[in-house]
Amino acid sequence: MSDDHTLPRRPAATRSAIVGRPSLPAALSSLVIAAAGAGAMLASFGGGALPTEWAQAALAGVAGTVALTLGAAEGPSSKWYAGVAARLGRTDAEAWAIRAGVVATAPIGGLGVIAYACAALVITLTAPARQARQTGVFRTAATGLLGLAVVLAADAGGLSVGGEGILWASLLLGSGLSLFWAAAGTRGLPEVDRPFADRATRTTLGLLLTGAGAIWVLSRTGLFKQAEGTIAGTAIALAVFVLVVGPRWLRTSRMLNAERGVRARAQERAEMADHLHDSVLQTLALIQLRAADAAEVGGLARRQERELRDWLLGRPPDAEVLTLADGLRAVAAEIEDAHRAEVNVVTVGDTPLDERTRAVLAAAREALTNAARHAPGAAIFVFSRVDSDGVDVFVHDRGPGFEIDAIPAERRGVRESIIRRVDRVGGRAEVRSAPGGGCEVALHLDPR
Amino acid sequence: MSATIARPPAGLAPVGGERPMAADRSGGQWWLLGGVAAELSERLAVPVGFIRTLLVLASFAQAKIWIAYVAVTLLLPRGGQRRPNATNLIAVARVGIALGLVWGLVGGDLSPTQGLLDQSPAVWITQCGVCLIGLLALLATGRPASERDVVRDRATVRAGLPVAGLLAGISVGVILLPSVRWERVLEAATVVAGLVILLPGRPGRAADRIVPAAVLAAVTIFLAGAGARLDGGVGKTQVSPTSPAAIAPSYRRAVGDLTIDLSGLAGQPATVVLSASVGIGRLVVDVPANAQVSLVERVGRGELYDRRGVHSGVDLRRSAVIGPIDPRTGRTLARPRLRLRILLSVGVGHVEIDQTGPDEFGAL
Repeated sequence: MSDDHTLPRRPAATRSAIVGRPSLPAALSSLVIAAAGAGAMLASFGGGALPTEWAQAALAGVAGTVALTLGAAEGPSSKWYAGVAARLGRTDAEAWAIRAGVVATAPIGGLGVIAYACAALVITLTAPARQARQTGVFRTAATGLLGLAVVLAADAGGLSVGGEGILWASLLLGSGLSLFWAAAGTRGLPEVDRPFADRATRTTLGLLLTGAGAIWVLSRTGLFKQAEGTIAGTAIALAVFVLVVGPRWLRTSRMLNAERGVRARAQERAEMADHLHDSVLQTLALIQLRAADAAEVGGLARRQERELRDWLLGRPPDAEVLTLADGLRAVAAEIEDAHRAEVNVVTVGDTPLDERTRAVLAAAREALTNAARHAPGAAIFVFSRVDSDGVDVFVHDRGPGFEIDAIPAERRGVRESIIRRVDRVGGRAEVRSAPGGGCEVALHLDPR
Repeated sequence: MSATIARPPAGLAPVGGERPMAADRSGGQWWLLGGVAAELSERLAVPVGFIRTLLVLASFAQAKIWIAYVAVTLLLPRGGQRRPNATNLIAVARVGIALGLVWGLVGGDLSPTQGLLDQSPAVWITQCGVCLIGLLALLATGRPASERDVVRDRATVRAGLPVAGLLAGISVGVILLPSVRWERVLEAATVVAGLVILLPGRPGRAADRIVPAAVLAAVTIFLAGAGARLDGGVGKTQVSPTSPAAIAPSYRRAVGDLTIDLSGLAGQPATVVLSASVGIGRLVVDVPANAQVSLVERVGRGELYDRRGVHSGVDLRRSAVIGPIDPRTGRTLARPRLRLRILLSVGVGHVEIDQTGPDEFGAL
């Protein structure tokens, strides 16, 4: 649960390998092993056996220091058990002071460990939902065993407080719950290539400790037999289950949501980058290649602008045209590509394509084709409006214009393809033009 | 075989945290114990799970399969090697340590069926904790055979040889020189082994020495905590004194069974004081029913039998006065002629007192 703020350091084992001296954990192991041997020898010369309590403490100490040595190869980390001290302490010194306090007060009825578990609970419930580096299980095991050795030694020396029941119940439940809660998360370290170094192992250890504590308390106090089969007993068991599992479940859910958000943003960004690369960057490259051809560059830029607008507005690029506005944009794009003309489309309101509006769209296409053909280089504007007055489409160009009556009768473009086509579906078409004044084709459909 | 381990690209791991598991360990199957199933899986190109399942099923049918397992562990060359090497010795040591840890966890004197929670929490928490973490460490330090460093394995075996030699030497010494208290040699050796780790040596050597030294320390602590005295010889023996003068003040056995039959003293007027101890093994004392027996018993780790049944655990102590009973009437005698004061001590094992009458049906 802690974040590692420490700078990457060379693992202690590697450092010792270079200088040829044992690492600090190895030195500690040697001292504990030698001390265990010396203690056994002293007891033997004293005429008796090594007292059981001291033997247990020595066994835990030896196992703890060996685990510490194995854990030294797991790399640097600020986290030693559940990561609570590393999170609470602002500096390394403060974190170590907290750890020392926990261990020193653990023999006092398990006080330090209970406080540690409470802090783990608060952190689990309130800390930001960020994934943190997981510590290898050896460091955790080593800390637990060395802490146990300290408590056993204090107990053997008569320094423990609180009696056997309170002391061991507190220690088992506190250490188990803090480990269980702190192991909340959604994933292990993908780069860890050894088993037993992920959250599953820490969770299992936490549950084993908690379960052992609970069973011991229940068997010693007789609560299990009293509550067995009663509604109150079931309710209490459920409540305890929720209290234990709830905080971890909450944190895991939050972390999962946070991670999904991060992943979604990353995916969105990747898609945007892909799109920009495939469209805008490619077009810019083409523009650089064809910089001499102004018309070609203009066409490329307009096509790209159109695609970009479609993408920004969420319009599918090659979807079937289903509405008048989409149809006008598609027709405009087609004319731009075919005639290298500049067509500006403005639409207000929209309506699905049917027989009548298809006729208007076809007429507008003809008008656009005429404008592009007869007014090369001039800007063309398309304006459409769909409201309660019906459908209006205007195609306007600033070309040279023409005299309508002067159009030969055999030319079908304007009369047949525009005016009569709209007439046939009950609409009106009007062509307004004069030499030098551009041309405007107005198409109208009454509402049904 | 390649030692490459497939890893997902850094940064984005899949939601749900799928860590690369067995399928990605393309460098070979991982060892669990001695790596026999993993090696056979590589050689026969069959799934390792299949071999492990077969092994477990076979062990139900014939428990001696594990003897064959240990033999194969020692003899089967690993990681494409042509003949067994130091890696095989490491594998055998792993199997031995694993068996010891499992024995400590579920068997031995503290099996859950024999009232684990009746022990002091300090005892069962320590024993279960150390065994669990030990098993975890053992399994976690397994590597595919192809990834094992033969040079490193050889260094570890060299570091372990003094400890193995020492334990073997003590075993021989216990047989040949029964009057020496060999557990003190073990204690002294543990101190030396601990300090030797600190000596500068070849880089990285300290880590190789720690595991054998820790094993030595664990054995020493186990015996010292149990109060096992390793003097008095090895084997099964029985003494049957027929007169008080024939009784030695103390009887000892380092490893084995010691039976002291005092039934031959029945009815003799005397007060006898004797002590008996067994380091590792069984101590049985037959006392005549018509004697008054003042007992002080101590078992470091094991079982203590009395008329109410078996007590199992660590550091078991009992003081009691039994008898005297008239074997014919079954009544308590007011004034016994024979008084026995017996001090019994067993390090690892069990102690038992049997009361016998003049005939074999008089036992209680």
